[in-house]
Amino acid sequence: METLPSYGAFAGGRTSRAVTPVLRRAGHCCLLIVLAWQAVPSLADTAIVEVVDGNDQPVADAAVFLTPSGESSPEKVSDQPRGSAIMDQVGYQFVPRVLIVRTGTEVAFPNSDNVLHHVYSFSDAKRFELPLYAGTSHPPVTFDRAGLVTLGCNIHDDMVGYILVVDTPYFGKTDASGRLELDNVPPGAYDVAAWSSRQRDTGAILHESFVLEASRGKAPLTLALAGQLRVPPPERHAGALWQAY
Amino acid sequence: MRTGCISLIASSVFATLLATTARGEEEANTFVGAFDQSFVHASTPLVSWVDHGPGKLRFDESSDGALVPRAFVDYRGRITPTLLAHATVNANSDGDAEIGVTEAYLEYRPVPSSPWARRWRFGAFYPHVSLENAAAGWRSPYMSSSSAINTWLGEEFRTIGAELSFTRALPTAVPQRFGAQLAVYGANDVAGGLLAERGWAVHDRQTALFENVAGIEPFHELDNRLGYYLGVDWRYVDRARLQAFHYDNLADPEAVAGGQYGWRTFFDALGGQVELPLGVGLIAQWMSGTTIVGPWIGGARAATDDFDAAFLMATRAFGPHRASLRYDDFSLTQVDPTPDDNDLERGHAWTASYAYAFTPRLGLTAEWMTIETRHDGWMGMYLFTDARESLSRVALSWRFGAPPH
Repeated sequence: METLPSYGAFAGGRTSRAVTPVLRRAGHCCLLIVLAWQAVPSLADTAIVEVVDGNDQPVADAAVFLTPSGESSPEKVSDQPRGSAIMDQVGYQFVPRVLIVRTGTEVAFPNSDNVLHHVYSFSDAKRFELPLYAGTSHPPVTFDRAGLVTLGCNIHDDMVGYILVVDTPYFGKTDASGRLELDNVPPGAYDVAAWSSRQRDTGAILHESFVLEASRGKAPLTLALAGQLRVPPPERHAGALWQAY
Repeated sequence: MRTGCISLIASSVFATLLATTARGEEEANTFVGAFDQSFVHASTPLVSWVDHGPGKLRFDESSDGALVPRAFVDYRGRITPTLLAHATVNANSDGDAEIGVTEAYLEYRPVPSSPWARRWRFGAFYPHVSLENAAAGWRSPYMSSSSAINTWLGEEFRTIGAELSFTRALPTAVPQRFGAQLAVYGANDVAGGLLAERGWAVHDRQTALFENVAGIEPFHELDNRLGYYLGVDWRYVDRARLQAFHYDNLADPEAVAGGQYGWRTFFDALGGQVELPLGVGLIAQWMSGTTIVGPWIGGARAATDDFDAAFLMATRAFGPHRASLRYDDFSLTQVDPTPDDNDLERGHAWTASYAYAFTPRLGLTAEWMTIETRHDGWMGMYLFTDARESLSRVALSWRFGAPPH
């Protein structure tokens, strides 16, 4: 189901302080990415990304990743260590709901609930199933292909989680104010991409290109994501109204 | 006598289960259940259907003032991550079977390889048609009694066969789910007989598998023909549900064996559940169908009965309190060859219930119900056709085990 558009190699030319807002469509969702970058006088800068929806409301928990692109790409990043990450199961939910990792990362599924979860994915980027008996440890799963992995639990149908596997070390998720700070991003040309689980087409990842230059001053990178997003799902009841016990 | 026996057995069984299940939640085997004692005050001119009368209540003047126990144990065992065993035992103080199995089946849930997840059930189980009887043991979490529709489903219906269901599992950026169910089954050829001969009822007694209930044995195979049902449903988190259901037992209406007749019964049902503002929950269900029995004589079967029923229930939880109100409407039209015997039933019921949980395990439920019915067939025996039956019931109930997830 997940379709990852190929990363655009468009280098966007030379841009000093800001990139003009660009509107691009992908699927049913359109992203508006506004880049404004001020660089501190060093080889690596802090990129500050803001993601908002079509009504200028901040989009929390959006995954953002920057992939070096084009001729002016910075030094190779492929040799950096991959590390590990955790996708837990807490209170019949995946925690975090959205996890973004680099290709090759080992992800542990510890299961903090005291019941059996049976995690599975049939996404092209990673097909697996993992019975998670409570109180036992399980080997981590290595995600070695870029793409979106949608997670379900075969026992608890309402559990849904996402692992976005990206081929770059420059990634993160926005906070409650729709903001993300990425440290140590070298100057150069980048493809910047954003994804939110609230997109109508959950498989679409939106891309823009920009060039980051080392320059003077502090550097806010503002990435605005426009388009009609789904409302966040309502919280589930703690069993009061439709209590089934 | 029966009452004391039930209490003793239930108490000892439950104490044992509590001791074995209270320790761990790891769910290789889980038990959920309840035991309750009801004080009953019944006011009705009719003998209860349980004692083969036409009364719509489970109780009548003879049980007025009685203490009535009931209990159930619901067992789930996980054989493998994808294979589950499920059985429910009910204990009652009345009817043919004091202790009986109401459901026993295997559920197979293969790991999905597409957004449509497949689920299989094999054995004896309820179809997923009741929005009201959503609690463990197929009980209503809202009231002691079930609506007329679900009372009847609990009396005469069980899928003894196989069900394949599909649910739209993923992706679910919006938390909606779609489902569809198809089942084939046998041993439901007599279903419809109790409704046709007695009329509708409103109570809480579920028929155990292969139990004789008021002279009817609904779980009989008479013609070696399979029946089927189809269902579809939609759900938006726990805020809204809709479902549609079609049932046809495809029974041969001329089949007869062991004093039981084949009743060809088919119906359509619609259900909806929604959460309104202020935390008020609404559940509504509607059902319409026909049941047919007997050979062709003079261009008609011995009996062709059309039945219709609907209910609307509102419920609201206030912390440990719950208040619920239900209105039932039901009718039965008998079309048969003898002109003087055109029995017709039409009635409605109001049920109000208040529940209070002292602790998560110990609760009190007070319920009041009144049923007004016009049933032409009563004239011969009772010299009246209209009756008002009412029931007050206060139940103290003790639950054990963790709720299933």
